[in-house]
Amino acid sequence: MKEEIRKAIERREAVVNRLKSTFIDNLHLTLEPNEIDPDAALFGTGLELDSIDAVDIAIAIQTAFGVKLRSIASKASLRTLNTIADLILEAQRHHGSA
Amino acid sequence: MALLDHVLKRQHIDTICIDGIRTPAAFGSIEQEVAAIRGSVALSAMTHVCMTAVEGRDALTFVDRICPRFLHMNPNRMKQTVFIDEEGRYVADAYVCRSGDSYLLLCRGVSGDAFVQWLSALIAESEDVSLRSLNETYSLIALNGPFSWELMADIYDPEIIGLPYLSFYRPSEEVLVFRAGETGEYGYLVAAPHSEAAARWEQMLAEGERYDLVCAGHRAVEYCMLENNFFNIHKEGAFEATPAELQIQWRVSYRKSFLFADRLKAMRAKPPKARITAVHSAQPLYESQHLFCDGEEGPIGTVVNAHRFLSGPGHIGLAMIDPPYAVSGCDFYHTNDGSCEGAVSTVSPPFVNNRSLYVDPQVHSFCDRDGIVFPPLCTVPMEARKEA
Amino acid sequence: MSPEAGITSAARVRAPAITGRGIFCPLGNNIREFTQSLMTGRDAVGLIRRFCTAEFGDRYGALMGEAQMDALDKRYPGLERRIAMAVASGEEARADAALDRYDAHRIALVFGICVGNFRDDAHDGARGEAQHGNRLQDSVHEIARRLSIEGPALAVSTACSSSAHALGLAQCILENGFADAVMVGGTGDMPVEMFAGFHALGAMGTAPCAPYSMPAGLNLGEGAGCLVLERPDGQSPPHVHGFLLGYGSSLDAYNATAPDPRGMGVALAIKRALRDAGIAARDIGYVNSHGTGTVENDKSEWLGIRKGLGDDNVSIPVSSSKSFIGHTGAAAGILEAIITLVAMEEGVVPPTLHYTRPRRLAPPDPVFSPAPRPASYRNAISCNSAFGGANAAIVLGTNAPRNGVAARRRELCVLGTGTITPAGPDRLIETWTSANGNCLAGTGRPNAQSAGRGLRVSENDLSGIKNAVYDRSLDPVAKFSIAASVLALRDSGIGVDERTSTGIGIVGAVSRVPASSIREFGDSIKQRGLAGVSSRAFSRIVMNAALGSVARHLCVHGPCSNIASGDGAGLTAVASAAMMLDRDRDTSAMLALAMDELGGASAHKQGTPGHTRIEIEGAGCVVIGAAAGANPAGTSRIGGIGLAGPGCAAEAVRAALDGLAPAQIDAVFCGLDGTNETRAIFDEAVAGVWGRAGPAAGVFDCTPAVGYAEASSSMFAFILACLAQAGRLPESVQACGHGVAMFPNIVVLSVSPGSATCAILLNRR
Repeated sequence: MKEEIRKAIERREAVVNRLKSTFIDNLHLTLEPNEIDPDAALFGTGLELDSIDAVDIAIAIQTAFGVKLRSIASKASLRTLNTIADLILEAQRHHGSA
Repeated sequence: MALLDHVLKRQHIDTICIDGIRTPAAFGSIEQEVAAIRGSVALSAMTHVCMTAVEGRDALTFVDRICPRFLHMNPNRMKQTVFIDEEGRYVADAYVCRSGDSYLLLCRGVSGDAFVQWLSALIAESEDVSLRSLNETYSLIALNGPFSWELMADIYDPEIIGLPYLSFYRPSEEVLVFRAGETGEYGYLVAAPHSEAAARWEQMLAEGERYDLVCAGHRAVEYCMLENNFFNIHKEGAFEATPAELQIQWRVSYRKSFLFADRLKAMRAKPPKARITAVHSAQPLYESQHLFCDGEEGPIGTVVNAHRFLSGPGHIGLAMIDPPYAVSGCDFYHTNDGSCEGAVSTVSPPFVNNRSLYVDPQVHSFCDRDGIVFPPLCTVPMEARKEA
Repeated sequence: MSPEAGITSAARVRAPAITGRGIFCPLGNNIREFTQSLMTGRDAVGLIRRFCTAEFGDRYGALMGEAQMDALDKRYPGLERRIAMAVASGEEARADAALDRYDAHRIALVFGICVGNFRDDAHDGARGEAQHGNRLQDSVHEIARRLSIEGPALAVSTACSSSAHALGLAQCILENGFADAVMVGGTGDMPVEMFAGFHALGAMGTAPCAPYSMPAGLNLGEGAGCLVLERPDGQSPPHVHGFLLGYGSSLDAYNATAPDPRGMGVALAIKRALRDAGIAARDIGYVNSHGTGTVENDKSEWLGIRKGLGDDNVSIPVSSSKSFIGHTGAAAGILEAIITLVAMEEGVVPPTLHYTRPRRLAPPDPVFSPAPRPASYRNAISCNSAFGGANAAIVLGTNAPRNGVAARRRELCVLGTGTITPAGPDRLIETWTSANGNCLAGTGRPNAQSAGRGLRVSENDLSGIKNAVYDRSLDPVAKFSIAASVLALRDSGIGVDERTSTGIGIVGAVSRVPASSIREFGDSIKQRGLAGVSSRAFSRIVMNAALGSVARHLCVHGPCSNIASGDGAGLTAVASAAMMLDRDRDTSAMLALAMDELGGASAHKQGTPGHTRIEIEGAGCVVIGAAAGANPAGTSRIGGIGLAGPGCAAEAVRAALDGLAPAQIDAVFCGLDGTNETRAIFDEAVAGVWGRAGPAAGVFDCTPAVGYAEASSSMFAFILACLAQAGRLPESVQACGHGVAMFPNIVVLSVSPGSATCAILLNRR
């Protein structure tokens, strides 16, 4: 595999894996990391989190990644672990808030 | 007369056969139908979804015994799951709906008769369980769209706004209204005896006019399922893939003891051969097309579900991609069809920012939808990102 | 109170008269000032100046001004503000009702109160009981002391509907003759932690709250209020302000913080209250809604009000007082009841302020107006809803109801029991008898066997009971409660389904704020600051959170309450459940559920020499139901109930005996807290009723063997008594001494110096 591709994949996986453990710890999910589907819906169905969790998630993301969720962005970003990862990587690229 | 016959009587439309059942394929152009699902209200005849009532003293324990997911739910709630058999094949994509002391199963991927047959074989001697296939006498109508709740409120009750997602109620003895859908928009299913369903169909057509209602066939609904990454048992589910590979682990639980728990645990123990990943390309994508990674020999994945993107540019799809490469947010893939190389990106589904997320039935209405601020519908990032 | 008597000579009284009122809030230091404020449409909502709101963005609240607070502090130096407000309003109500007409021990106090003191557990242990810490009952005890009330004093805590539920308990106490007058109140203040918690839930508004209008969001408020209720046939009061015609409650069984979106619980509570009052919905002239201002609450509650009143009555004016007093938490029920009473008397309907434009799914007449609107009516409803899905509705009226026939008492039995303790599920008997060397009596030193695997409940024991206890949103106390109630329901054989769920309710008994959750809450503040407080933890620190979780898991929608009186609360909850069943034919069964979690530092109490009190955690649950159709063999019948002030234990026992001779009682069961003070009161009571010798088979205190849990021990004693009567004692024990194999008549007695004494007579059928 080309070096830059490997690095990109690693960077992505690192964020997703860190997100998984953040979720497991903060939301007390009784799941192993590899049991969490990165594209599963977070709310309503899928992981079946609720609005109370939404706040805890926002805080946990801020603590773990230093990324602050603005409310308008959050509906679009908080759909799956992967959409949150997109947001985090984007913010890391710009070193700012998303 | 079954709903399909009623619908066909009104106009000639293309039908398609799914699991041996005829269902409308399209009423008009797919663009128009998808636009209605995504923008206003669309009406569909869900004839290919089989409805099975499981009743009897042991109904709850029986279904619990054969279902891979924990079914703790209060009455009038429902959960999504898949039924698997001893071979690990997906028998059905199901909503398990708890109605008092019995269950109603709404299933895709299997005909009513075949499903009842499969269930019957699993009932133990001592179990008091009776099965009823409802499709002979009941029809299932779907309304999907950011303003479907408003039409439902007009037809049934303003209170329907309060019906929580994945729950249902009975407006009358024989009718069930479920709040569920596969398109990512507000969605409702109405199960009613044939004649009542036909009457409701007409009523929805008439009252739906002020919501720009359009009839949507199976192709449009299936397309919207792809846009929203709703598991399609006929496409992704047709492969012998594990729940981890299909990203449907949330529909099952490895901790649950049920009839085929060993099979499920074995599926879990297998190292994944691939993972389903959402992809986008400016070039056409089609099923069974191979995907390659820049700088690598040989294919790293196969497209299993694809369509021209109707809510944005290019083409979208789902692909089974080999584990090291099955990562979203990367743009170093391509298809290779002989002379032509098409760049492919992996993305995070859903492919759309469902407008329903931004419609609040408390405050909004179809008639002042122009005042609602929606973000761009397409979530696929448009500029190619160069990884540092 | 024996059922055979049917309509007893002390005829069951309906519709208590409201003979006293008191209030202390931003709109007035007393009822007169408050009435003036109300009539001129004064708005207590304004920018919060008491603490910095910059990090929250939400800035509005209905708080007292500096001057008013200083005056309060001067009047009650050193007293915590919310207690001071409570005492101020209580003193006014007491004077208004001229309560000196009654003996102090015939006056009861029922107070709605919530967690308000967010100090660290660790600090509480060091400071000892002088601080009110996180035991709500200590605050209520202080209020009773200052108001010279010596009858039963009980804290009721169901979050935002606390003081409304308190009215329901007061109604039961009066009807059963346990007091001649009851002071019912509620108090709530706004610590910044509570503000932060509501902010974390996204419920706060960034503007003055506008129920049924825009923008959505709530504002917090503070205040305290009291009403005095007494039997209409009691001693003549100086004045009667109105009548509590009816009360109803229900459980949503939906979500920890969000209400049932279809308002089913609210509808049930209103229908029950109307039925209790014997009044038709069309005779209601006004509804004071809970109306917090959030979209979820207002819409769901309106759907419920509409359902409760019926489609023909949707044009009844419905307004929210929170638009001018804010959300006063535990005080909301009583303050809004007072507003309703005052308005009805003044011939107006209170307004909903801050209207800008209408919201959909809102009452057609929300009384959008800058000041109250003239209206003449005789009956009104006030309703409240809370976290955990506890709903309450009351019917208030200006006129005394016509004489109704008092209902026959129902024959009530214990249908099932369930416990979870460190020894495991349903291991009470084993724990108790093995500690006592296979005998019942004895000093019962806890040994390795009896103490189980330690003091804490083991996760393994929970898992076998119901998978749902692994729900990640449950804290330990919720898990214990679900486990105990599942076991009890199973034992009773009652199935919960769509037909029966509305007829099954729960009364909780608690002592302290759930330890794990308050710790998590505190930790989230330390780690993330107030603006990052954990909303999940916040939802779990309300005293009825576990009760709400149990209701959700069992899917029951019946009446509810939550007795937060600490020591002995368990038995009081059983009594309360029985009283609620007694008065409502449509309720078929009630669960009484006591729960305790270790981790709260309870001050070390002086034990009796020879006993080492071991603190345990766990939960105990009983299912009580109407006798008809119940399994006849071996169930215990509730033969009588008594409730009295902390110093009147003998009275409580005599009330429970209801004419039965003490000599006919075989045994007294209890679960004492091991302090000298309690022991002294208990021994005196027993001697007073039975003489030096005591009851025939003796007194059985389960605490030395089982361990002590503040709310649950009295419940454990009750359950042991039931199990003994059911013949579930091991053969070896039955054969051992005392000459009595099973006990046909048992009195279970709980004594708590800080709250009340409660006695229940159990007859073996």
